[in-house]
Amino acid sequence: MRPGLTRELAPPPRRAPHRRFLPTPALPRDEPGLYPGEPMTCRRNLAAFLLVLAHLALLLAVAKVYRLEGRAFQIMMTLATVALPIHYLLPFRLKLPGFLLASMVGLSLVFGTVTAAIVVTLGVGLILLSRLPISWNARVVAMAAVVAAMAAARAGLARTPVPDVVWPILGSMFMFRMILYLYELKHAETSESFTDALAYFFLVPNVCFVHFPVVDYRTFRRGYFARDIHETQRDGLRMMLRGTLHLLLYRLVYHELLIPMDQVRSVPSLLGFLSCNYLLYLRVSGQFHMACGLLHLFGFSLPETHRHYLLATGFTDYWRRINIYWKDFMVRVVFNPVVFRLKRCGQGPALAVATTVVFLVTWALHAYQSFWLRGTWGVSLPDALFWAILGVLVLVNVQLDARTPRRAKPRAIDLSARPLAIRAAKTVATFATIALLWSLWSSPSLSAWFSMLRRATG
Amino acid sequence: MIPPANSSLRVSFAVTAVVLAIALIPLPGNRARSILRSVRSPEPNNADREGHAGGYYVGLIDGGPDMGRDELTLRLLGKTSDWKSFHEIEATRYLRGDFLQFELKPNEDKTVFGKRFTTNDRGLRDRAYALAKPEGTFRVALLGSSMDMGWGVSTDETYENRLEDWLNAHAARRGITRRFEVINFAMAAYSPLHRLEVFRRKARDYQPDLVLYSSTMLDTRLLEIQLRNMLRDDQDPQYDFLRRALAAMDVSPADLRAEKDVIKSKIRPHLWPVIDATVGDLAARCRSEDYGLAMIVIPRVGQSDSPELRGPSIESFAAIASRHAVPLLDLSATFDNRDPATIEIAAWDDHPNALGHKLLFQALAHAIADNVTLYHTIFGVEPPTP
Repeated sequence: MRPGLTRELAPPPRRAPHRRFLPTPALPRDEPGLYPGEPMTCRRNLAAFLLVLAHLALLLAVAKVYRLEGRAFQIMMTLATVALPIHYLLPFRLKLPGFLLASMVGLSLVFGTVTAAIVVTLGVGLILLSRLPISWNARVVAMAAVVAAMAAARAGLARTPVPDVVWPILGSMFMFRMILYLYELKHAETSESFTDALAYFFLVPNVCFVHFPVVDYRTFRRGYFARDIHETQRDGLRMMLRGTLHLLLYRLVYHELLIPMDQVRSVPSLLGFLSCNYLLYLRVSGQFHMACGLLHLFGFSLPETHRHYLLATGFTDYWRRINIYWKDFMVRVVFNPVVFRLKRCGQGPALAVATTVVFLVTWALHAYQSFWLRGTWGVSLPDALFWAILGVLVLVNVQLDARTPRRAKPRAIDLSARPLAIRAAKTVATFATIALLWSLWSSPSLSAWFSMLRRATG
Repeated sequence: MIPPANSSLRVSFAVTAVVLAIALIPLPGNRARSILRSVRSPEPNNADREGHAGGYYVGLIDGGPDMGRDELTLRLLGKTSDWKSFHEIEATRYLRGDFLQFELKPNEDKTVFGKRFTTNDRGLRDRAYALAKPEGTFRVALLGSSMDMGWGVSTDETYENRLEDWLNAHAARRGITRRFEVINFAMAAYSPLHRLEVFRRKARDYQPDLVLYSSTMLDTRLLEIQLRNMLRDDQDPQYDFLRRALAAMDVSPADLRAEKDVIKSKIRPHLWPVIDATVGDLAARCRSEDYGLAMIVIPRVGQSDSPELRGPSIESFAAIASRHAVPLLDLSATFDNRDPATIEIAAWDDHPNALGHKLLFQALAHAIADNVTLYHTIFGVEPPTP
């Protein structure tokens, strides 16, 4: 992977962000902690690394003692702890193959050798298909045809010798990342290496988290050894600790605080249920932090997946803070292309149409995700209403934001009473609205949801 | 240059160490320990467990698939290589239109969790026994559900067979010539009513001297499923007390077609009274045939039967036992202060493993030894003085 052999130009001239990198010059042969020709970011330091490894071992102990997640997660954490020192000592050119090997071992340990072999074979086939020396449009059509055939097998419409368990694993790795990869292949100025593609699709933590953040290919490549490895690893450990705390808090809420929907009988019990039901999302944010934190350990510097989403002060703010990778995916693949095509219609209509399309696509892709991971589309009236209402709220918010004149962003939060009170009120209102919407989304039916509200209020 | 480990990493390291220490250091106070157990528990919570229990048992009773345990989930959560659901081992014979609804097939020999699941020639999860009681033998009939049947353990590892071995060994040590047979009539998903029916139709034929009626905190749930199916299939209630209870539930044909919650809300107020009447009926029958009777309470592994959650059920069982003058051996605390990981058969399955059954046996043996009347009934002599 080449992004590690790049450095940022300083000061950055007026260039597009993706053009701001230049190859890092090769280093002299006698640099301590480096093999000849390796980038500085890869420089080894035993003391710094042992601290990282000790911290990872401590996190592994926490995962074992608290029995976090399940068998697959325990295997993956153990594998990461064993593989990390080997990966760290490997020459830079072997690090990516080493990472891939760890993924394959993890896949075999969790799902068995036969299942792993089928997943890898089908996955490699999909990657090769996306790289066929034919036009991009023809490749997309061919990919759509193959995915449709796989979907028929997943739905049980077509009989194949492929075990059922293969489809959700393959879906988890390819359902969204292939969209981004094809998008990248269309816009890339240089050819993408096959090893990069393999590493992108067969990510170590994906083995235990089938619900996986939509990692962007370009970001993934650019972040690889883009900074000093120990800094990246330390960021990863902090991310993993945050993930651990989210998962433990989730357990606390799930076992100790959450009441069943049919036990909501009063306004206080309704408020408790709404808050706790929404807080179950801590499991998703915990898993995403864990997954991305682990990738950091192997040199992939990635952005954070969530940013204090419980403290959002509006619906666009919420959309930006929760599942940031999804928001970026939608912005890149849907929002920007739509806005670009409609720019002649004026900013307001273009933003409105683009936001609407983003939420329609998000709704459809959540059903598509449910199909690959669970085998059912999971489309229901509460589900449709959830995305429709959230879409409208964000749409209104986007329009209001667009009409508000831009001001320079303050460096720190104003701590005087009035702005703090306004901020707190906005946060509470956003939390309350999202929690209410979340209860609608998780309700088995619209009548069950209204029935709960009636019991609580009357 | 390599930057030194910065302060935020030290903070992160310290927080991780504190989180680990909280789990390892004994915490003061029951509430703190209970919260810690919750945070360490990978099990479903009570609501989900009830829904899952319904799924599992409804699947078992109705012959449907085991819910939510597909290959992917099992691989991610943790499954032994030969894991099978109870439904999958096909050891159940369904009795359509029969009050008993289902029973074990005879002469089964399957491997589950690496353990042999066997039934004898009379369809009991037990060793082979002659129908006629041998001379000088004291027979104990055990009525219960899956915890007592033994799931994920071999036949000799069940607490019931350990009890039989101990009774014989203890009698031999004390010079008592009496032999003991403990016969297991338990079956997965058997509700209190099933247990009564099994006593009437099967256990009596073995001329037991003592009947052990086993209860679990899942009894109300099992009974609810059975009653719902009875109402749906318009089955004959067989027992007068049940006929009266069903009439009091006032379930209309429209209720049966409505959402499950409607019929559940009509059944639930009657569950404990039906259990009470079931034990009452069993006690009366045992008394009339001069069989001894004792109630035992068996816990599940994990959070579902934690002291806080099982309290109301234990109170109800105690009240029922007292009302019908039946001795109650409460073994529900057997797994308290034990790491569930060491005594459950799997992270998602709260049945005890071989160690769990051993602990249950030890608790039961102690309870028998501590109960002078029961000890005398079983051994025919006074318990040894300490």
